[in-house]
Amino acid sequence: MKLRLSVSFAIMVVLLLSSGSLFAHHGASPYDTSKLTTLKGTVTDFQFINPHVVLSVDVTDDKGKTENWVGEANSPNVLSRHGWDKDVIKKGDQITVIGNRGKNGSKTLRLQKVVLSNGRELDPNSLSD
Amino acid sequence: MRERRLIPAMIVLAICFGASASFAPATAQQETAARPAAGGAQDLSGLWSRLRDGATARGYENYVLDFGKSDSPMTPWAAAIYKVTGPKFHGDDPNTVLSDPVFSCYPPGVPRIYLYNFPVQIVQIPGQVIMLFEYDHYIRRIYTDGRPHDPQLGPLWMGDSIGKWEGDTLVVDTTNFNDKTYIDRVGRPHTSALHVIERLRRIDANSLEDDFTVEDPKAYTKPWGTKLIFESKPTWNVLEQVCEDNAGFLGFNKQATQAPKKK
Repeated sequence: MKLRLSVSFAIMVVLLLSSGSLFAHHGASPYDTSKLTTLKGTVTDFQFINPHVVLSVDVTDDKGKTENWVGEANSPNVLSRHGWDKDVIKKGDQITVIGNRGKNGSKTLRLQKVVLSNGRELDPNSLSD
Repeated sequence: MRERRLIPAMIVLAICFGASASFAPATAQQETAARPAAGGAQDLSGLWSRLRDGATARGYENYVLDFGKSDSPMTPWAAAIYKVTGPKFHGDDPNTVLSDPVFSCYPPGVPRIYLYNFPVQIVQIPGQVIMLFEYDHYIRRIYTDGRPHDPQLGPLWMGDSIGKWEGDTLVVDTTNFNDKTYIDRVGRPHTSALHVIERLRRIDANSLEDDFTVEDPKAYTKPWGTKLIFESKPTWNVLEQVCEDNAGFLGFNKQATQAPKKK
């Protein structure tokens, strides 16, 4: 049980870091900023913690296959200054995520917008960033 | 008889007190300046968030990594270092990015600390202007009690800061740096002779300006700098921000990042 948990954690972390997400603001972006990817799905995880807020979503394609995507955003310090808090998104929420996909083709996104099921839009960027 | 001699004595004493009041010592004047009327000209206090280049809306992609002075006049010594650090700190390779000392949670130095997207709280008490940064909870104490730079200090990550009021401008002089930090987030170097001068002024109730100059003759052929503008954020609080959240996470996964997986 312990081994399986640590393996799945490692895989999640590899997926997350393979996009170089945490290095993004230190240089050339590992995300494809030339286009936006839009996905609809169910929230499986929402980590409102430093250094980056992480949002995981199960997305089912039109063939019925479900895959988990990981979106990352700015520090919760920054996000909390324009509308986000730890409860704004919950596991099980139906959500739309829009962002730049990792250049290496991984199922990762740098979030540019999140739309909740009630239509509310969350912006991970800010004017004074 | 006695009363008649007392009156001239009292007049002399009164004149003496009057004279001494108009020649108040410098420290007393500076003390007064350190406790300005709230919102007055010499009041820099508040919670300040730096605007980026006139506050044009920017996406997450466009972190500001330097001070926009791409023509900062480097000496050959500095240029040779920057040729190596620039691509390292600004590159795609997570391994070289990790060589930037901030990823080991070393202090960012000055003025680099202003390049992080977290606000700074300024507090003024007699003899000190204190900057409380949200970024990894750094504190800069700017001594305004008239003291000189301390010659007995060893070299410091964040330097030794003293400040003097010139009208409504606090002129902050920082020296005694070590040589382990960088001027910005893309690896512009400096030596331990770095000298940073900042002119801090409250422009209006909601705006603060920090006009800074970097001097380091071994690294830069002439002084250079720019003006940083901060906006007051009275509804914000300084939040927790812990460097180890970045560093621990990155270090732990350094190996994992070496071979990005494709699916």
